[in-house]
Formats: sequence, structure tokens, C-alpha cells
Amino acid sequence: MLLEIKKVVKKFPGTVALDEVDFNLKKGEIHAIVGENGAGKSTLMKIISGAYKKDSGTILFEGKETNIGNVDASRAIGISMIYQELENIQKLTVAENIFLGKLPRSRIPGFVNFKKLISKTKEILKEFDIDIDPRKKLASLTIAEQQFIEIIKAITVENARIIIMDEPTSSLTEKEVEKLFLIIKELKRKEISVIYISHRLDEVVGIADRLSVFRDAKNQGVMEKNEFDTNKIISLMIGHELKTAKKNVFKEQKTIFEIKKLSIRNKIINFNMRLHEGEILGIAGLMGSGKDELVKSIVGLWPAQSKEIYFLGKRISIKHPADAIRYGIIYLPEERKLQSLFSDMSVKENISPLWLFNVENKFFLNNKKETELTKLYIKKLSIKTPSVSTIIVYLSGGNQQKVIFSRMLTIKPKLMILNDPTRGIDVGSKEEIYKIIKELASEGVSVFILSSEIQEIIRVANRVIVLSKGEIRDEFSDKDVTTKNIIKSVMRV
Amino acid sequence: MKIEKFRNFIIEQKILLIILAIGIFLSVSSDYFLTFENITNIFQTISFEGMIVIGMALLIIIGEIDLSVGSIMAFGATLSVMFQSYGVFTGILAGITGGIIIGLMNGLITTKLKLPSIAVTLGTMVFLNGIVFALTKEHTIKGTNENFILISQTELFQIPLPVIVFIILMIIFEIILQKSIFGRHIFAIGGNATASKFFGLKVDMVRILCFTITGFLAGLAGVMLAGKLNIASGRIGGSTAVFVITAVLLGGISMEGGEGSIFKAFQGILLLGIINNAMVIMKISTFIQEMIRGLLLILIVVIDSINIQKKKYL
Amino acid sequence: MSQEGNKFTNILREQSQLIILILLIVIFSITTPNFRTTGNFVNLLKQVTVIGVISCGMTLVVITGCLDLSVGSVFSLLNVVSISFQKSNNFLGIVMPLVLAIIIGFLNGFVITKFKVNSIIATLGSLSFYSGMALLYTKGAIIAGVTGTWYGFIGRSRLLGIPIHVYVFFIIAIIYQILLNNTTLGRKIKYVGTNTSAAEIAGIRSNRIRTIAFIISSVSVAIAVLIYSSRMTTGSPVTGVGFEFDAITAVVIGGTSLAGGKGSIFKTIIGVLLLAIIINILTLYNIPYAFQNIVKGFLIIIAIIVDIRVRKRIEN
Repeated sequence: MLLEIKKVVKKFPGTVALDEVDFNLKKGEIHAIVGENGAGKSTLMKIISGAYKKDSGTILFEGKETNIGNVDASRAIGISMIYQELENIQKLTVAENIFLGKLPRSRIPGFVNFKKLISKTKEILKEFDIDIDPRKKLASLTIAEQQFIEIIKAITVENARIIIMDEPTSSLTEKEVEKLFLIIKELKRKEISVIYISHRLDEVVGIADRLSVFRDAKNQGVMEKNEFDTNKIISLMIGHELKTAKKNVFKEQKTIFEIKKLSIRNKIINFNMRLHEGEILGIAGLMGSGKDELVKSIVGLWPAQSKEIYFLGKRISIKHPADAIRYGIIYLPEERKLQSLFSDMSVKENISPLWLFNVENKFFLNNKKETELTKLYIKKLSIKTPSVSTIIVYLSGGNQQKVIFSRMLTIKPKLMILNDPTRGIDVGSKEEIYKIIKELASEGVSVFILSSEIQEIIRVANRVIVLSKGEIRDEFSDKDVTTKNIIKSVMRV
Repeated sequence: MKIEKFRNFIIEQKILLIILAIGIFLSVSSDYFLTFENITNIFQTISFEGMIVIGMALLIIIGEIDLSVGSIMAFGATLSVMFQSYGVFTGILAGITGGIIIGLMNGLITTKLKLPSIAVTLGTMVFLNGIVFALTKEHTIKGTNENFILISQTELFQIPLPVIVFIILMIIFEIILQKSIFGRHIFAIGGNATASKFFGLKVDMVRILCFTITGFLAGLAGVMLAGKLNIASGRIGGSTAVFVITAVLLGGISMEGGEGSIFKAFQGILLLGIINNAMVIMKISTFIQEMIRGLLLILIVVIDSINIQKKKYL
Repeated sequence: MSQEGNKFTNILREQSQLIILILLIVIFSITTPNFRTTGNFVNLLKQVTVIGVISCGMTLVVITGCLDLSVGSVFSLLNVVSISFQKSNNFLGIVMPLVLAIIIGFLNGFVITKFKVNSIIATLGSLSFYSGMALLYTKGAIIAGVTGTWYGFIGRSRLLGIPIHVYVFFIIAIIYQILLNNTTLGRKIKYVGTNTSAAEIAGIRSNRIRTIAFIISSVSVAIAVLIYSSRMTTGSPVTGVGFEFDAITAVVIGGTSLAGGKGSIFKTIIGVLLLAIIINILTLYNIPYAFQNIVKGFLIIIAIIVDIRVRKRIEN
């Protein structure tokens, strides 16, 4: 056994990310991990690659107890991680990327032996049957090719033992996936172990030797290759079908909002969709499905090659979020700190922007009104803050998000587009936010909700669209909105 | 196939072609342009600030900038004038050392305190400018060592020493940039500093070294400049930063960092030098020249930004 | 994390520049007899008004996260334009600079926001451009105006012993402060400087706001020119050389962050006064003029080092 993880625990304020997790990896094994977002897979990988430190538990590497304190330590024992967003140097050549930090030296001190660099690169590319010119700039390669180079880079170390791949196929075509699998098999032949994290069950069962299912911060079970059973895997992923809290009874009313012919280069192909008053529409999809770019382009934050938006039957033009706001369409970004919060400013100043410029709309500020507005929403949404003037970074994540929600509510929106609205928030606040969303819908506000947590979408959505590689794959309504259906669609089973 | 390759070649070498085009136009419209005297004149004028362009190219490739180069040049000139009474070489050494120290200071403050180089070097520029004014007592100071002028008077095959030094420096630094480990690391760090650090590159050291090299080159340029008439004053270098940054960008090196070459930087300086020369030949007033220089910087930085923005939404 | 924490140390940190200012005044009033005369203080205030008004405009630009290096050469240009009209038409002597200022500010803002260009480099180019233009306008010479323009009283007369232009400076400062703290525009400026993405998503057109800030900066220069030319009878095309660094120094040592988002006109006034007092003290101790730049540059660097927020930001 190459790597053994025993009863590892990792907690964060408000959540338990890993709850006494067991996991092991054999030498030269391809071990897949599946599980919903938030189930604990990423956290475990971060601990193995040294980015996080475990709170308790044991890690054994080649039988010896190891404490992988930091990233350098994990790389030293031969563990490399390949992220979804590749960290490479686009403007350098393939060869220089692979040998970054390990450039072969020439006899003249301080200089590079370019001949050796190219020949060594050609050698290793040949071993994996990858036909790429080492002298090409990385930027000129396709995403798939860049990913292959990333893998090569990871194993061009003295003692590469474990490669962790996180969603390696999200941007790959079928042919490219085949090529990737050939490379992974070659890794296996070289006795390098691979931890393969993916949502693509159809792919996973094709390549893995063993498979672990994560759910609720625990490893729910390991399966051998001959035991692979899709339904069983999905059941383990879901657990029991959540007894969903009573959802809004939604009667199809008038169409308030319609999108036609939305196309975004390389991301979305001819998207069409209708939304009704008071309807909550969930959009599910993996990274690479295009859902982020889709919603961003609706409010003018991402360029679309073609886009037709209709509000109450009339065609409207949205080139900037300000246009969208005029029609009552508000976007809640997924990165709270970077895209929503005015970090150095007070709670009051974070609640008021939309109201100030669209409702109150006067040249001079009215401090009293602003304070009253803030107090109103602090009460309405139960925001825990010492005062209206408290600087917003001092609030907890959940309360910060409630402030941002309040910001949206101040202008009585018609359509709210929520991108991962409960990311990084404690369970209690999550519930409160679901309640707010449902209440709003019952008052006639329409909602788009994007989330990587399928359970979350199930909680609130009346209808769910599953996006895959830029197109609508499936659509579920009413009783069909179940975790099982959506997961199966997302995982292309 | 062949047409494709030809088209790509044209796009790659567009600056060279522009230089060629302007050169041909000027040779035709003016008798004076293509004379040995004029060409040497162009090279002589550009060789001083041209040395600095080498350093600025390194900095921009690694993702930094240095606005204080003009002041460093003045500083180097002043020190060399002040210390030449102890000998020509002492004067030269003093100027160069001054430049190295300031470059090192810029590098240390920027990297160790994690501050944006554009802001830090803005402060250095003002600070150093004050020091130069203080050292020269707000006058133009004259050197006491007659031999100092040999720096600019010495010729090799009828080519003045400063030009030779400039060309040699360009060759040396191009080799370093393209073939040495230090040079390759400059590209890596400029392309992605986080990834570079992750893979063990000594990011801070490389940055500091680039600032120091620039300081050295600016100090040297000041020494050579002082060697022309053996004078120095606080008014030297006022427009150097604009000239040097424009040259780097004109040559096709992007503010984004991560790619470029000294050869490209040279094309930029040459083009700028020819434009200046053309303006002089056409008897355009110095005032309009200054306006054109400012406009050119704005134009070239806008074009660069447009190119950078185009790549964002792929 | 205790946000109120020790209220006293927080106030100390927030208003450290004011405290330093008071300390300096106290110390040098005691040690240097020439310092504490009314004549000296009035003289100080006189010198401060021109740079002071420019610094107020610069403050708004800095809060949006940019810098305007062109203010010095724009001052030179607008100054000679103003003086040149004194002979023929006093009214145009005021209007022309203002109109030009609006155009110049708009151009600066347009180039920087539309093409997403670094403001320091862009305004460096503007600096050269308008500096050359000023020289071109006067053909390199110093031009003559007239004595006794109708607005000369701004520069020459006094009210209660204090020159009128000092009042003008303070009135401008108050107007700008009200603009920044009590109007929608000012709030938008703060939002844009604090987090441009969040501001855009909240429907603020950050490009427009930044351009407006640059226009205000140039208009401030025009107002400063009015103050200056109201007491001058000649105009030099290089008057404004170095003004941009004075303004930036004042803003930065006053405590407005170069990272954007945080700052106030009040802080800038303190910075202006601090700078003036430091220079005044240098003069009183007969330290040569050259050292002023050394001090300014040194102060800029210190202020940047002290401003922790700059370390986390990379400009525009």
C-alpha cells in the first residue's frame, strides 16, 4: 500500500469537511473518487498535496507515518496535483514548461543546454506517444494538449509517485479523453499511482481500478473494478433522497422573461429558455458546461456572439449590468469577496448602492434614510452585526451574503440570478437564504439559481436545466426534480 | 503555404519594415539622411538612452517597470563629473556604482516590501532628482579632468566609443536573456510568477537583479553622456523615462510581460531615433517634437492594451 | 478580530497625519522663533493655495485608483492661455482655461478607461504632450499679461488679513469634500475605487466615473490657474513643472491610499499643510532648494511603505 489515510479529520469554522475519513492507494493503481461538491474530496486532496494540514488522524506513506506539512514536502515525496485551472506559463515553450526550474545546464556555467532540453523533452513525449513539437509555445496548444503537458511536467521529477487529477476531462473532446486515458495507462505501467476525481461516471468506470464514493465528509465505501455498478454508486453518492422541505406550489403563469439564440464563442450553443413569474429555475452543470458564462452574458458581463432577451414580451438590450438593473434583473456573483463586497466599507454602504442609484436617485445623500433602510433589512434578514457602521469584513460569511441579498432586495427585483449563493456559508445561514429565496418567489420574483451542490438546487427549484458542453442536456420539472435524476444527467449516465 | 509563411513573417517583423519604409522615404526626400555622418549621428544619439532601454526591456518582460531611470542617469553623470578629479576611471566607477546602488534600492524596496514598482520608482525618481540638484548645487557642473572627454571622443573604425559600448551591451544581454538560466527565468516569472515560485525559481532574486542591472545601465549611460561635454546637471534625464518606455513598447514588447527580446527593444529605439532624426531634418520645432513624443507613448500603450484585451474573452 | 478594539489606538492610527502636523507645529513653534510669526503662517497659506486646489482634484483621481501626472504641464498650458487673454478679454481669460480643462480631463479619462491603459503611463504621455503645447503656444517665451484684471482681487486683496485666494482654496476644499461624502457621485467614486468589479455589477459605469474624476482634476488645475494668474502679470510656459509631484506627495502623505477607495479631502489638506510646513522649515533653516525634492521623494516612498493596502493591489 503506497498511501494510507486513517481517520483523518478536518474542520472549518461552521463545518466539518472531513469526518474520520479512511482512504488508501496502491502502487501503480488508478483510484477514482466520486462524490458531490462539498462531500470532502477536494479537502482530502488538499491535505494530500500539502495545501491544508489535517486536524487529526494518520497518514502513512510507504508504511511510514508522514506529516505532509506543506506543498514542498508533498512534492518532495513525489506527490503532484493537477488542477482544473492549469498553472502553466503560456508564453514559454513546451520544453521550458516541462523542465521549469530544472533546465539542463550547459558546460558554460549559468547557461542552458538547449539541445539537451529539446532532446529530453522529445524523449519523454515519445514515451507517452504525444506528438507535440517541444519548441511550440504552450499558448498555441489546445487545452487538452496543455493538460497532457501538465501531466508530463508532474512526472518529470526524480521520484514521481502519485498524480492527483481533478476533473481532467471537463474541457476535453471524446477523442482527447481517449488520448488522456492512454497516457494514464502509461503512468500505471510506470508504477505511478493516479487519484482521479471526476463527475463523469461513464468515463470513470472505464479507467479506474478502484473507486471510492464520498458523501457528507466521509468515504462511504470502496469498490473494486469488477463490482462497479452505476446505480449503487449513485445511491451511495446521494444517500437517502432528502425529504425536501415543502416547496412552492408553482402554477405556470405568465412568461416574464425569455432568452433566444444565445451563443457564446466556445461556451454556449444556441441557448433558448423561458422563465415565468415566481418560478425558480435551477441550472446544473459541471465546470466547462458554460453555465457561468451564460448567466454573465445575460447581464452584460461576458460578450455573446448573439443574444436576444425579452422582458414581458418586449425585446430589450443589455450591454452593461446597469441596463439589466433598469429592468429589475440583478446578478449575484459567485465570488463574494472579489465581486460583491466593498470590503473596507460599512454594512450600510454595502446594502445601499442599488437603492441609492436606482430608487432614491437623488444627487445628495440622505444619511438618515440610508440608515433606516439598513436597519430595516438587518431586521428583515436577521443579519448579525454590531451596528450599521461596522466594516463588512468583520461579519461572518453568512451574514455578509445576507447583506448582499439585502442589497438586491432594496430595488424590488423582478429576476434574481444567483450564482452559487451559499458558497462558503455555514449551514444555518444557508437555510435562512433558502427561505428568503422561496419567500421571494412566492411574492412573484423569478429566480435563476446556479449551484454545484445539487442538493441545494433540489431544495428550492421548481424546474431544473442540466447544461453540458454548452447545450441543454435535460430538463426536469415538478416531481421529476430529484437528486437522482439530476445527478444521473450531470454525470452523463 | 508559402503565402501563409510570408504573411506571418511580415506581421512578425512589422517594426523592421516600418523602419525600412521610413528610412527609404527619408533617403528620398532628404539628401542628408543617408550620409555616414547622419547615420552615425542617429546611433550616437540613441546609444545613451538606448543602454537604458536594455534594462527596461528586462524589467517589462519580468512584469515590472522603473520610472527613475532618467534620474539615475543624471546621478551617474553627476558622480562621474564630481569624481573624475581622482582619475577618469574613478569617475566612471563612481557613476556606475551610484547607478547600481539605486537600482539595488529600487529592487529591494519593491520585492521585499511587496510594493508596486511603478509607485516606488516614482518616489525614487523625485528623491534622486533632488539629490542630483543638491550635489550640483542647482547649477550645471563642469568636470576638471580634460581626459574625461576621451569617453565620447575615442573612436574605433570611425565609430564613437559610446555606440560601440551600446552595441556590445545589446549583444551581451540578448545572449543572457535568450540563452542563460537567469534569462529564461525572467521569461518564466514574467509569464506566471506564482507558478515559477511554486517550481522553485528564486523570484525575488531575479527581480532584484533586473532592477540592479537597469540601475547599472542607467548609471553607465549617465557617465557616457557626461563624457560628451564633460558637464552634468539636474536637468538631464527629464524625458528619459518616456523615451525608454516608448521604445520598449514600440519594439513590440508587451506591458503584460513574459515575452520579448533585446533585438525587439533595439528595433524600438532605432525607430524612435529615426523618428526624432526625421523631425530634426524636417526642422520641426522642439516643442512639437515633445508633443509628438507624448502622443506616441499614448498611442503605443493603447495599441498594446487593445491587444491584451483581445485575448481576455477567448 | 475586534473592530472597535482599542478605540484610542484606532483614532491614533486613523488621524496619525493630523497628529504629526500638530506635533510639528508645536515643536517648531518652540524651537524656531521665525516659524511662529503670523507673517510666516500667512505666507505659508499663500503658497499652499495653488498646490492645494490641484491636490484636491488629485485626491478624487487617487480614490478611483488612478494617478494624474499631467496636472503640472496642464497648469503650464492653462496658465499661459489665461495670461494671453488678459490683454484682450478678461472674461475669456477665465473661460478658456476652464473649457480646455474639461476637454483635457475628458481625453485623459477616455484613453485610460476605454482602452484600459495604466493611468501613470498614459498621463506621462499627456505630460509631454501638454508641456510641448504650452511651449508651442508661447513659442518658448514668457508672455506678458496686464496688470489689474477684474479678478485680480482674488490674488491680491485680503479679508481680515488673509488673502482672498486662501478663502477660495478652503471653499473649494469644502465643496469637494461635500461632493465626496454627501453626494451620489462621491459615493460612486468610492465604490469604484474600492472594488471596480463589484461596482460594475452594482450597475455603476466605472468608466464614466473615472473620466469624471479626471475632468474634475483638470478643472481643479484651471481653478488653480485662476488663483495664480490673478496675481501675475506674466506667464511662463514652464511654471507648472513638478506640480504633479507636489500634489501626489500631498495626497499620499495626507493618508489617502494609492490603492484607491479610501481617502478624503480633509486628509489631503493635512497633507498639503504638512508638506508646506516641512518645506517652510527647510527654508527657515536655510537648507538649499534642492533638498526639497529629496524630502518629497523620501516622503512619497515612506507613505507608500506605510500604506499596507497598496501591497495587496496591483494597479489598474
